[in-house]
Amino acid sequence: MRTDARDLLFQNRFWKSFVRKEIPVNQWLRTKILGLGLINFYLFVILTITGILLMFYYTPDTERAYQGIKDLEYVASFGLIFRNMHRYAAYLMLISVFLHMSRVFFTAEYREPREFNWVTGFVLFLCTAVMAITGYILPWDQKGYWAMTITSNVVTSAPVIGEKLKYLILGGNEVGQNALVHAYGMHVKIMPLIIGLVMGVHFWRIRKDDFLAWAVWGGHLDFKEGETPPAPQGPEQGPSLWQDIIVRELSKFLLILALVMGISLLFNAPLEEGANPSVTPSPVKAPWFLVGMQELLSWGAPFFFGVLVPNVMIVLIILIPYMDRGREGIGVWFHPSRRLANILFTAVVTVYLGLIIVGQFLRGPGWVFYWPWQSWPIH
Amino acid sequence: MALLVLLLFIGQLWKNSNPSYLAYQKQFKSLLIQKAAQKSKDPEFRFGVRQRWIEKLKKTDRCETCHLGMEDPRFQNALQPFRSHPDVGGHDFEKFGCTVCHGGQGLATSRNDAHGPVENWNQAIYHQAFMENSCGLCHGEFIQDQAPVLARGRTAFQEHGCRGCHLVRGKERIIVGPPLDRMTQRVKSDWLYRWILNPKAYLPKTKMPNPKFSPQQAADVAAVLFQGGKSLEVKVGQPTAEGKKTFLDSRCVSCHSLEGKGGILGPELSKISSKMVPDRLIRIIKNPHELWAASQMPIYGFSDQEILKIVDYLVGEYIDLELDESQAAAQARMVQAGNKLRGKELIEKQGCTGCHTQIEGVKDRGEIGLEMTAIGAIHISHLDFGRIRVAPQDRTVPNWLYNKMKNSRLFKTDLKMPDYAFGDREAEAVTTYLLGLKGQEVPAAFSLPLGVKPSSFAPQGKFGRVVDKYRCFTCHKILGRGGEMATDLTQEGSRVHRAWLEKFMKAPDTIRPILVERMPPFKIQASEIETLYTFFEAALVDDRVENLTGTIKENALRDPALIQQGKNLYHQKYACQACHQINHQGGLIGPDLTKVGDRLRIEWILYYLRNPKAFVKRSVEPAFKLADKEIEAMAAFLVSSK
Repeated sequence: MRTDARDLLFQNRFWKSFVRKEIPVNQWLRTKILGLGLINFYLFVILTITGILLMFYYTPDTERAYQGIKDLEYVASFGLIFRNMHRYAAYLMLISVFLHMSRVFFTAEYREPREFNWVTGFVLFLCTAVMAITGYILPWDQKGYWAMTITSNVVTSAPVIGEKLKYLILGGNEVGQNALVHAYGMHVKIMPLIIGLVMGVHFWRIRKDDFLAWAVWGGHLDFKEGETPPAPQGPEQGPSLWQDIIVRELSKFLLILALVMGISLLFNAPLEEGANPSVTPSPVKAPWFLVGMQELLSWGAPFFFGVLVPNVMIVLIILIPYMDRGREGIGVWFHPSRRLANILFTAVVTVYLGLIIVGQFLRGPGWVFYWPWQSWPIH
Repeated sequence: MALLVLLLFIGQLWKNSNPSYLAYQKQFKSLLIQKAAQKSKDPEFRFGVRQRWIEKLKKTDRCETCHLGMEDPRFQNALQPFRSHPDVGGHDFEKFGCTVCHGGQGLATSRNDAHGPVENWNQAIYHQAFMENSCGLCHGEFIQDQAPVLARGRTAFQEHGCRGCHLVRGKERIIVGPPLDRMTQRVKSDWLYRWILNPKAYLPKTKMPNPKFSPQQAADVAAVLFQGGKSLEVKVGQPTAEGKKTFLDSRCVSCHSLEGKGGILGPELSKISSKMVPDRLIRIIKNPHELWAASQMPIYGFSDQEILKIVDYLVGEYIDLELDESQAAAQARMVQAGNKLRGKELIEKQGCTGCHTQIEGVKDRGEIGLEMTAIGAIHISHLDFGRIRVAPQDRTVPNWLYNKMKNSRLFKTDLKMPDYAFGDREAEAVTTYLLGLKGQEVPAAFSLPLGVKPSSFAPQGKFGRVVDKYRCFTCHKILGRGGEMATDLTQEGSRVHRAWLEKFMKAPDTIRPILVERMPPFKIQASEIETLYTFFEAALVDDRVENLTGTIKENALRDPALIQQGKNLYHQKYACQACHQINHQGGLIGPDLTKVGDRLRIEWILYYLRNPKAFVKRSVEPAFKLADKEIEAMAAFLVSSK
């Protein structure tokens, strides 16, 4: 009876439908891929739910948005907690999406036939960033307002269309009501739609590509001509194993939920003063994940550092799977044959992290460099 | 894992159901039950957030979530946060809310966030001392009676010439200091040097701030100022008893002080010989207006002979005993050697022109200070605390302003603003006034200007010339314009007899014994008195008093029985002698009533007794609500007093 119930719960067609054919479950259990993709999905679910709840109290109106957030904080039942959860889950998602991407790079998983999924994955990464930026503006506090202001100024450094693009994004020449409504529309309608669609494609491709190219994976692995595939290591089936996988992945969800709730319980999401165009904070800092870009921009010509460098980076990253056509080291962490590629990738990431740290912690008023032990001139 | 999530969930439930205000509400409820102990039923109390939404002001105030006893008179003496709000004359909380007056974050429901200062809310609640700044938001800045601190602040702001350097939109620039032309003909150069170095050393009550110049800088500035040709040499004689008598009889000390004693309108005279050139003294006494159009000093009408005697007396008697001759000579030499170029630069840079005009070769550069139109609503990040380490909870706008008022160079030494060194009281008042300058208007429904706006009444013609000559407005108020020191003359025509006025103007006697300031005996001509009374009689009357003329039976008032009845009322029932004097008997608070019938018209006495506050709003006379018969008796007695 117990076994029957378990079978009914775990050994059914719902779970089976996630894979095209039988896969060696106990190999799966032994993989070291961290399950970051699913974690991203869980965070997306948490964000969607808390986001919908927050929508009940929020109005995208410059007069009322900030007050709405204050209401959430002070009077709405669970308002403070849901706002905290939404904010921290978003931060976590930015990090874990990035980690997911890094994992795929370091194990060379993007290679044929998974090139396209690298592209969709990267698009999802960009979408997450756009969600974060637009979400940043919605509370209409000083931070959001000025972040939007400098972001829109960066846009103007694009050649020819810069000014028009800024006008389009802001719905006017200044950061105001239209910009807020645009951000809100992007954040709650357009971006979720795009993310949902691309995520569908991403998942569909995963199923079609039979999950991972993990080296020890028994099933669908690419081999060079003439090599013999390793012998299948016996049928790895049975109700208990399926159950183990499902329990493991679902407990990751609980772990993530606990993490988000725990942080939300202890720390309140930051909220600055209401947007005030006449009071410019010094220094004006972009959201932390973009502050590296801002640091880069401070180095010189906005067109070069603000438009050229980031866009070239984006194109290069998208093209990675089409440039790197090697067959060796797929599904292996840090395969020796890919040392150069790994070092390059790590270097780029380290540089950007360094930029973020410099921009976030070592820049004072007027974007002047200050060591942490140096005090800023107070004004 | 599931257990952990469950625990966290329970934690969140707990956090959500235990907001910080709940402790206060529980405490309040138990207090309520205590207070209602006599009654059989427990009082109703609903836990949860209380909120007032003031749509027109765009305010949402949740203060009453904790301040629960606001409107409950039983909590008059309760400890905060439950104490009931003191009466504020018809301010309906439902219409106004809390934060429009008190500041703070009305949206918040925890103590720290609501009271502030917190990082994400610029406005903390106002300290008690500065509360009155909010009154001006709806009521304007002339609310003397209800907001005395604000009114004092406004006066101080004006009198100290703040507007000379600081732009406040909608308020006219006022230059308060004297013009500084022809200084050589006015003062001695060593005095000028010492004055610039520290004005308060010579005249502790001066409104001139300390520009904080170094000795060299002071000499440079004095060098620029000290030009304008030679003064006339006047031979000063020995001080005579005659001169002293004229000086004292003319009651100069009503306005001028001698070693700190005396009036506050004019400058101190006890060291005048160390400052003024005799020729200048003569010319000032003769016609102060010629030298400084805004001077408050009247033209007395002394003869040249008398003036000379006074000057002899002043120069001979009022010398600076502490002054070292050789030091003074050294200072004079310093001024002579001063660098005029540097001096000129300093005068322009430090904003001397904010208060003084007609400095030779120096152009007025307008308001050089920070604009103050919305200083009360300024963001704290615009205010520089400089080298002073200030804890975050003290980094507030009022705190900055208050300390700046007490010491303008506190935060930074190389500033332009001179040091006014206001005391606690003045600093509080000026800070209050500045906080009231919010640069915003309340919706029309909330605007309710109170108090009396100073009128721009400027009499013309013959009457105007007399009033101007004797500077009546310095002490007297007429139709809303003028000083507070002496009687308001707006109803003078209805008040006094012509004969009395003629006598009084020539030789004023004491009407109000308690006052230091006395009406000076001007050398006024009969034709000028004629002019004054003609205008008083024609224009400065009140019809409510005039209408009584003809209704009074003079004969009836001479009835001895009635007079006796009035005497009893005066001495016994109402004990008027507590404040008033008749033949040197009685109190000193009210005016002397000896022969009051010669001074006041009977119509006025009758009307005034009926309602003492009808004309003189701030009259301290108690409103006894006398019966008609009593008024008649009292008037009969007063008129009969010889």
